[in-house]
Amino acid sequence: MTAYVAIEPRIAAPAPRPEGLALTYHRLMLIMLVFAGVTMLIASRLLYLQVATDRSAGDTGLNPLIPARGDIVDRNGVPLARSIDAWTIAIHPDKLLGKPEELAVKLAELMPEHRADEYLKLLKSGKSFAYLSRRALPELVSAVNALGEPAIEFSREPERLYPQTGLAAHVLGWTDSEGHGVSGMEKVLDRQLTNPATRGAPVELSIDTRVQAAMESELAAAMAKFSAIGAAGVVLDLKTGEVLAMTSLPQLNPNKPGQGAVDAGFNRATLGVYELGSTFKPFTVAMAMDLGIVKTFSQMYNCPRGLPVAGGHVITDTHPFGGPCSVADIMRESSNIGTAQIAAQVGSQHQQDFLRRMGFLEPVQIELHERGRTLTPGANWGEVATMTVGFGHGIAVTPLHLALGYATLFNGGIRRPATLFKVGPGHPVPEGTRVFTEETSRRMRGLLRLVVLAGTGKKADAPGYRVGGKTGTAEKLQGGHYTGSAVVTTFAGVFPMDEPRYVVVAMLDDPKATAETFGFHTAAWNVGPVVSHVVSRVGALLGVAPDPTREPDLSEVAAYLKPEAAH
Amino acid sequence: MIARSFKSVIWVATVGGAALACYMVSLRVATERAELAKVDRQIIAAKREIRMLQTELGTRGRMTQLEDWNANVLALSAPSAAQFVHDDVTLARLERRDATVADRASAEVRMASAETGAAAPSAAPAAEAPKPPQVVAAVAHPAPAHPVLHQASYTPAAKPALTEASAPEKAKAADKGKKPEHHAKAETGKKPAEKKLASAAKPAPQKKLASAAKPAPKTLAARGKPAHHPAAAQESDAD
Repeated sequence: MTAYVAIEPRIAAPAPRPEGLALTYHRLMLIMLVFAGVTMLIASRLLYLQVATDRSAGDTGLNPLIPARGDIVDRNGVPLARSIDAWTIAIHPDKLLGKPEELAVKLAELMPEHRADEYLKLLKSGKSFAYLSRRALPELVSAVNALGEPAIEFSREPERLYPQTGLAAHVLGWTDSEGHGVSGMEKVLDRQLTNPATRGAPVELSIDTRVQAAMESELAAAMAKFSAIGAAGVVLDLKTGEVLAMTSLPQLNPNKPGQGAVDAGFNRATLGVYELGSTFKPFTVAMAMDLGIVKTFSQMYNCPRGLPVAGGHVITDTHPFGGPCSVADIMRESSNIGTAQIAAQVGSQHQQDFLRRMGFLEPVQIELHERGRTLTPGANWGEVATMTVGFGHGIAVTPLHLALGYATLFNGGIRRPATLFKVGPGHPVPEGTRVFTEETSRRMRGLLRLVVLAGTGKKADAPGYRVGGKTGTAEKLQGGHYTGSAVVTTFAGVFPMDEPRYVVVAMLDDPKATAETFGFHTAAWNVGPVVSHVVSRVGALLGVAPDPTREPDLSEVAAYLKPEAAH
Repeated sequence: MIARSFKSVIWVATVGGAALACYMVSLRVATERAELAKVDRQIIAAKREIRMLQTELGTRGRMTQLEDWNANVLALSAPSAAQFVHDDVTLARLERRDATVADRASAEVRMASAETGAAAPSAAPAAEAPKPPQVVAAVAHPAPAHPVLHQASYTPAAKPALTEASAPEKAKAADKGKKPEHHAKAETGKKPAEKKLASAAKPAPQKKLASAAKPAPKTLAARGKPAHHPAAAQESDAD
């Protein structure tokens, strides 16, 4: 079929002039060129895209495996803090379709944290957005979803999860709702954990979960048994300063930092300062040995029943000798009178100098921000203060200070700061500064082993682990004066004493006497067994094989090992 | 003539074909890439899931939970110092019980069956070494057992094998005796003792195996009737 087009003369253009026709051809050509050019442009662009686009580049932009906030793991790689994608249930009350009254009741059934009228108030508030539940369980999400309310929104948000719940809560700290650390290592490491360049690799802490768990459970048991108001414990590697366990009770669950006891957020191990009593005595003796005042442990002092000092005070002992006593006796029976005399010989200046070098006059050296200022006699550091500081009164330090002091005393006399980072390539062992001589450090081993073998620390012994240490029972300052009723009991132990490796410090705040302890609330009765149990449980984990046949060099104290100390 | 007139057509076809082939290659590559990306995504999803499950497992098996289970159900306590063994000698001494006659006899039987292979053909005369009953038994079965009995008898060379072989018995027994403690240790993760046990237990069976296994092929080859050996020995024992 052929179509004919009738050219109406009316519309037909006037007879083209030759130059007009050429112009038309030119225009047509131009338009065609433009079309061709655009087509070419598009084609070449497509070709370029096809060839030049690197498809693999799209994936590397953000590795989905890198968590929103870096992991924190313990020294063996056990996760202590992780970020997970948690379900969040939110609601847009202004877009509500169902009846608020019915929905409120159903919500209250599913999420009993709030009452129905509270939900109703929220639903009627007309807000554009409100959280119903964060970190919801999948079951709850599906149950709420089954309500069929389109205004309820489900989403996944990165949430901080502490798989070990309350374990090492004060070391780890916790994060706020924005995901920023507000205390503990979460705060210290906040920048590192949120920086995309560094958060891919987990941060290794020096904490050992197993040791931490042992310490926490034993302390919690003792705390419950003796109705103490608080407790703190530290396990320290005395050669490197690594903190293997650090706990403060009562503690809270960092997964829900808002809940828990009022003082649960308070870290007693690094923030709380306490007069730690007789656990200071080994320092005084070591100072005297370093200064050449105490030459042998059989050096005699006069230990009367009461030692009057300037200002009308009288220093007394719980086990008075009432006659001459040797340095070993003083330590074994924890004599205040004897230690006060040794401290007086050391002198205020030397004592301050030693304590300063041990770091006892400044906040404890550790990464945490929660560090308490120590309390010292300050300007009143006269003879009486020297004597009381000598047996641990009139000076208040943290339990971690004490652990570091024992580490200094038994690692050969070198003071190193405590660290919560696992010592390794990125965290070398610091050089340290010498405080005591190696000779003093070595000789003190026998003396403190004596305390556990034949003195006040018998209950802290863990058979085979060669525990050495010192008990401390200090009266608490209440309302400006000391009362005998409230005490802080401490045990600072070192094991194995023949080759010291770990310091264990346990402290109970205001333990009460029980029938089982025959009315005593001294450290020997309540906190000593804690150390014994902890050492028995963790000793082998830490690579210390129990061996009943090994002992430190006891030749210097052999004469005092006789079981005559029976009272 | 025709070719010339179709020249342009051929050209177009060639160019078109080449372009198509190139495009096919490119398409293929794109498909492979997409496939790869999909696998990558799956890997990432799997890794995420692994992480999630690890977290869940870690949370469910947290230390406080284990502690609770131990307190309520398992009641395991930390091993005492006496439960740790420091050297092989102590480990061997853990087995205090003297072997009964039955024990020895059964041990002997096992030895005999092993030793039939182990003993060299030259080992004939030293048969009287430790166990008279066996010799008697051997004599009682003259016909099939006779050559075997000769093999089964003890030689100076075989003696160490016997003592070594008894060591693993002890080690095994000790190991058995250690089992409950072993468990207790596993709970608290006491490593050194485990190591000791392992080191004490390991070398002995190896020795036994070696001493028992090595000579066997020789005699088997020499005798040419392997099936008879154990059977004969057992028979002789049964009498």
